[in-house]
Amino acid sequence: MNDPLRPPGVPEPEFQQALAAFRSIVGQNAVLARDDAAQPYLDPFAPGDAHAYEASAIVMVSNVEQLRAVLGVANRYGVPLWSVSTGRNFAYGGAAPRLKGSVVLDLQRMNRVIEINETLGYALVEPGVSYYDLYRALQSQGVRLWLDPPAAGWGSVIGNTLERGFGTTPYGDHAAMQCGMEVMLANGEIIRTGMGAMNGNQDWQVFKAGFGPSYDAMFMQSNFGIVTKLGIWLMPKPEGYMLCRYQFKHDADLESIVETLRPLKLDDTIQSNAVIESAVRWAAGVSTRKQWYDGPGAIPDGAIETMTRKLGIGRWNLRFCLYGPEALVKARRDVIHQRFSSIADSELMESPYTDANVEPKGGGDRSQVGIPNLDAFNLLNWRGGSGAHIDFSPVCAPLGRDAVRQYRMISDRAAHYGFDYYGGFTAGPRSMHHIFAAIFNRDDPAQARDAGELLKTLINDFGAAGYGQYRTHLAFMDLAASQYDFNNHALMRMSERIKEALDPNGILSPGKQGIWPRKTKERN
Amino acid sequence: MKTSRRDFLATASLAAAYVPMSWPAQTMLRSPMLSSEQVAPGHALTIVFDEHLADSRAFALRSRTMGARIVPLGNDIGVLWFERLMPLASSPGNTIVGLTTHANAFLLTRFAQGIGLRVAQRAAGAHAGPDMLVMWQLVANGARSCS
Repeated sequence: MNDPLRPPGVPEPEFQQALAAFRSIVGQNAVLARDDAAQPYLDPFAPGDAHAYEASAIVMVSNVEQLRAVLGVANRYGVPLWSVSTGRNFAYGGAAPRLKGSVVLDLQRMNRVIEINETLGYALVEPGVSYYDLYRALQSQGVRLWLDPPAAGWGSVIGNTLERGFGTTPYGDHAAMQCGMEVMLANGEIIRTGMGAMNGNQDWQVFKAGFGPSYDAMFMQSNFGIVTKLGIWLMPKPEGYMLCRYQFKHDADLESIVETLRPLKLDDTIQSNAVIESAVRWAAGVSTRKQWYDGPGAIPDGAIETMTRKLGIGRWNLRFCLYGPEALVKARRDVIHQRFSSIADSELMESPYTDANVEPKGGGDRSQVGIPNLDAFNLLNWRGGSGAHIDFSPVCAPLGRDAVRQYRMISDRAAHYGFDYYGGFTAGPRSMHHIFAAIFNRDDPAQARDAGELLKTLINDFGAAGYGQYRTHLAFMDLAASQYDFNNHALMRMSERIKEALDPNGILSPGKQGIWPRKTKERN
Repeated sequence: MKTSRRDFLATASLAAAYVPMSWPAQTMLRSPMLSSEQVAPGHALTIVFDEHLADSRAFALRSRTMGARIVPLGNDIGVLWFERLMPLASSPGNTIVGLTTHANAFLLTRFAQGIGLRVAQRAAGAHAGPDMLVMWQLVANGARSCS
């Protein structure tokens, strides 16, 4: 029998003392250790052995006082903590820690919606508040504000914002919509950013900067502190909306789509984030792969043509939403229709102008009117078996040539490894998130291994071409971080200096985004 | 009499929910738990089904004839969880069983684990292919585990 897992460098007696101390702080039932306690925290979509990122224990805190005490214990015994809000970061590692043997610090019990301000359009929440929770709070209070849900609406508002997630309303850039944080540093000290640094100030959630340096972004995708409260701006509910969907018949249309879309996003004619989806991505939401192709390798072009024809979709599909008074919405619609009609064989469709109180049915449509949902998970059924996916997420300028280049680079490599191009671009004004999901059957070790190999290859390919990712799976954090190599990785050296200054014992999320504490690096 | 795949799935799933038995050899065993964790005596059985899938509908209809409450997945599985299944699962005397796609089984499994429920599941079909449905059962014993 294997020895029970424990944090690297922490002897068993000390680890047991740490666990006993954790129990005295949060209660017996809020510390999970031994047996299969960490099982639910394993990555269900691991591209390989999920146990390579297994936690040694779980500690669930309910408030900042418990959190401070837990950090004190972790500092005393040198126990690394991997903080998760609700642990739903699927495709990027879920709730699993980067460093095997870390203790997962689960914040889901800190789940208060502290404030919803309808007048100024914001909410202040704790880490355990999911998009569903916030949506239900808005609904139950009859507040005329919309949130912006990410593709998976069960995630934490704070967790997704700190990971710089995105959605498809005009408030789709979640990090940009953040205003004001409360952060606990590794030494237990609480700070508030921006106007929150001033006692008695009421502007914490309306003015980001405050006075002097601004640090909010420093706590995103980092391991410099634990965010315990976060302000998020919410969209005033419009009078009505119009869902628009365009189909483009040809694979070669991508360049024209992006070139046509960019100016419309830059001047805000299209208010929402716009989503360009490949045929497979659309089809995976409504069908399974076997209906179109059941052979080896990537789905062939001929099968895609048949699939698009029978499903009534395009090789590329563009969706966005317009909001506001009917006259304004229709004026925007007319301009957009006119621009896109220049693309040969394009089919331009829109839903009727709809009162904002009327909910659409489909998941993608619901997301565009601020309703969280989970329809994106239909992709798990695409390939059959125990479907899983890991995502490759490069940033792409909204230029047709870059979009086509990235699409070709990914689809060629994916085909080499036997994967379909399940991808798309979510376009903001000046950048696009290009998301490709390598879908695999996790019960098939060869497929899982190939998915991992594909991701590694893509990160290297894209790095060589000058493209970086905005987010990545645990298994590739070091590799993705290493692509950011200006001046011999000067930015990472600065991150490591900040880490050393704020967290000298290296207890907070070691390895997050490739940032390792000095003591861990020295030990390894 | 020839038994169709749909009849077979409905019968086998229902039997697994009610009666201690081993699954037929041609079903692919994903977890050893389900066969030994049937509905406890006195428990109310709720069947979650996918109204878009004939096999799942058939399972639900047969379950209803045996007194089970049936609940369609509906338009939003998150709403279903928060408004119907979580309150049921959190109160004693309820067993919740479903026959759904892998994706929906994954989602409900994760929701259930989030409130400390144990989940048993297995593939319900001869092949672990695209047509595979998953039978799952939520076990409210306060212990966390995962199949």
